[in-house]
Amino acid sequence: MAASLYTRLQADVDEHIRTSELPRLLGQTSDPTLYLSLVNTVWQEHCEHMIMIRSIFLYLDRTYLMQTQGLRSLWDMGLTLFRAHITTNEEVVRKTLTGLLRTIERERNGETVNRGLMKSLLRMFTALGQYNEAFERPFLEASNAYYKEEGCRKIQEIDVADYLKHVEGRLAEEADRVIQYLDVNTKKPIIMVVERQLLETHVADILAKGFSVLMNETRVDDLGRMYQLLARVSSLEKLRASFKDYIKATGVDIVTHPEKDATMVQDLLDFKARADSILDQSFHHNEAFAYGLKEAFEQAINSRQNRPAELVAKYIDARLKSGGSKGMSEEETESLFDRLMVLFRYIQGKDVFEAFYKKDLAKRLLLGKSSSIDTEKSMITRIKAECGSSFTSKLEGMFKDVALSKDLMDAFAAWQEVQAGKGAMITRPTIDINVSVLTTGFWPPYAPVEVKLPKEFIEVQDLFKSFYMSKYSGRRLQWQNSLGHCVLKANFPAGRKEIIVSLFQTAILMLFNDGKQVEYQEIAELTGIETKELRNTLASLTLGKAKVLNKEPKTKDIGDEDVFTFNSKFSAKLFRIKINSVQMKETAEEQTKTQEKVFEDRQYQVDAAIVRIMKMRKTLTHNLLMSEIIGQIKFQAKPADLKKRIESLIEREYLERDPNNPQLYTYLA
Amino acid sequence: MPEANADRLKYPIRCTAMYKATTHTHTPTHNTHTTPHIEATSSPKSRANNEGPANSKKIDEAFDKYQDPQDKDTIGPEGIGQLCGDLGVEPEDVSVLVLAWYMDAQRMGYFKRSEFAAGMTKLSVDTIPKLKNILPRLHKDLEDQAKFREIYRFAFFFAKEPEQKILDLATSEAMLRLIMLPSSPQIVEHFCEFLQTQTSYKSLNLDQWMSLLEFCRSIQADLSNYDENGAWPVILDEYVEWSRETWAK
Repeated sequence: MAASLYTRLQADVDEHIRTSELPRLLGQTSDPTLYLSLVNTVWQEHCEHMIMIRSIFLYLDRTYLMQTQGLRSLWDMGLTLFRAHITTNEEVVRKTLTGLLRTIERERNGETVNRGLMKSLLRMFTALGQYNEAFERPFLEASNAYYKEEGCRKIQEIDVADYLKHVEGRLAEEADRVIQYLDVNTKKPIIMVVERQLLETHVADILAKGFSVLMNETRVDDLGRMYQLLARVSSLEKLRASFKDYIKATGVDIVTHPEKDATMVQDLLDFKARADSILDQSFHHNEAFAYGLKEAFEQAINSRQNRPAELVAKYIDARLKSGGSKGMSEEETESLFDRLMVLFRYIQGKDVFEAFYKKDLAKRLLLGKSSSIDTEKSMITRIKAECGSSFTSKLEGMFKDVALSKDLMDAFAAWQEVQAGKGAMITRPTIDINVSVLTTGFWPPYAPVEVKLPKEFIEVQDLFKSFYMSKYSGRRLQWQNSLGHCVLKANFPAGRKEIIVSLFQTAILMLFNDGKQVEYQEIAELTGIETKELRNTLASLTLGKAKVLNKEPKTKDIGDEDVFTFNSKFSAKLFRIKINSVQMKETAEEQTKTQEKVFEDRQYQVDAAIVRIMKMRKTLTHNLLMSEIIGQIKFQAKPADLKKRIESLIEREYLERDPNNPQLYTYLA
Repeated sequence: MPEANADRLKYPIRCTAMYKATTHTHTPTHNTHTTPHIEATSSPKSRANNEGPANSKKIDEAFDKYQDPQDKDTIGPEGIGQLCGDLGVEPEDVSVLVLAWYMDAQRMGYFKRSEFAAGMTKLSVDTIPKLKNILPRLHKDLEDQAKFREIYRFAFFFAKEPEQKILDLATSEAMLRLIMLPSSPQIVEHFCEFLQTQTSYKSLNLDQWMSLLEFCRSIQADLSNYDENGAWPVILDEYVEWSRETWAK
């Protein structure tokens, strides 16, 4: 009885569906939205009906149908029949699908749609087991096409930052759509569609069009967004490459333009700080990115030989001089030096840095221009940490000499007392002297310059010399006149002044003590100063800011016929006036000389390396020798330059070419 | 071109007046080139004239004809001019250079008695007519690759100033033209032009000189097999670069 009941029920439901439900959906409105409502209505009614039927025939459902295999429950039966007649009907399916997709498209285009309706219909398909076939697949296809078109269009229309925001928006939208009415399993595929069409296919464009702009303007948020989005489509490697290329290009631009030299170091520091903040905030300090940054900086800073190293040394010099770190707290100064050390680490060819740093340090120490000895020493410690103690041992020697010289002066004074007490015939000096004794080798090389100093100077120098020799036998002292400076007490009618002048300036000024005028030639003879130096020094006394001497005629240059007089009208605001600033400045000649010395040293290093290598290997091909040399030297060298050194050694008969193989060299013992 | 050496271009010149009248003593040189071996193919006539010890006397007599009035043991530039006349060759003829090589002469323009004697002996001749006979044979020596190299190397030491280790550009050009022109005319012309236009080098050293020979022997006319990363001296790298630029059109 149950069986026949079931069969009759089934037939009834079947008929009902066929005759009263289905026709309502055929040949109806062509408006998709209305049609959807229609379908939904039919479906809802069907569900209601089936629920009621099931309630009525509950006993049947729970007993007979459950126990009998091969028979569906009433609910399922209803579904099966519904599906068989309605949702496999071509027209129904087509129009329903069109309606659904059209609705979604409208929603994507910004319209508000009836989400409840959508949800209901999609649940219907799910219930009917047709979700994937009837909906999801076409949905994904349609979405693919939609986003493909959108991607290609939008990328042209708006700038990259906005585009990325848009993409972010779309992703959020689709996720929301899933929650609102799509089946949860559709989330992954639809997100993938969006990612692929909006991001993956356009990665190259995104990077090409927008990356530099965002970097230039340090748009941390936009860059962060880019990072997140590209991470989704496994394109971080491309982003990293763009990052590295940008850093390198910008760095090279800062470094390789001579007209920008004055600000190179500051620009580099600023740029590095900017790049670091982007790395941290936008790229979450991704290790691969950090490495790319480091590599790019290294390549950029070494794209130009020698000059960056020199400029970093000069920058540090400016900061270590008194007044150099004005307006910066100690913490800020320390952090600045740490950042400078990072740049220093990137530089190859650190010997250029050493040469200039040494030269500037010497000047600071000897002219008392350091703002703080502690800061100086902490800088040395930093350099030592980077380069090892052999690099800094000479610099440290310079500090020792300065400290030692202070002690020497105390001992000198004491010695004079003792000598006087003994009744030894020494002339007590009429002028105060402060001597710095420099150990040759620690300090930069200074060519001794001749100048005829006044008697009093010679006396006190000799006195010191006898003192020094009494302490240290076997040493030779040589006075470096170019490094000396004096404090002269000057009595101008307008007021007494103390002027700080170089030794050369002093020698000249002392000639005017008897108030008479002196001619150029006389000055030249009496002081014995070399012509170019003499002209520069006279210019500093007559044509500079502090004109302590007058010059006739009042031309802009120093001429051989000029006549000089004491400027009785001289006045100035301060009591102590420095006119020896020319000593502190680096002349163009000094700079070239320092650079040349570095290149000379490098040549010796190459020669020594070649001899060392060949001595060990006896014979070696050209290519192997070249790579061995490059492996041993610590700076970049052009292959042509290395070849020249090889040729020079051949000429000097350290090596020879093998007569049978021109590519082979043999060591000549 | 340096004027001071203009006269050396005309080695061995006809007019002695233009030769530098220096009074160098012959300084011992450090030549390491090998001394020439005599070819076994001497003509039957000269073999028949091989007389043994009596040779040296005849050689001396031959020498005396050209000796310098101030220095009996030296033939000076004038004497050489005469000698060439008697041999029927121009002083610029390359066979004179080969002859100098047989003599292991230390200095261009001068033959010492010992050098003259050594050369004549090696060539198995003792009179000037006999020497004149075999002179054409000397050209043949240049066709032997190994001998050519030795003669080429000898030329460097022969043509340079005794105290110097380098050969000035003008003399280099002249010697190159003399020796190399027959076998490698194009490269010689180009290279000489290059030497004239460039400014970094004022002379050639032995290494560069010998490398040039190697270059002519192994590098193709279109320079396609030249490797600037190889062991070639830098001057040749520069020559190739110049050559490519100038002759690219």
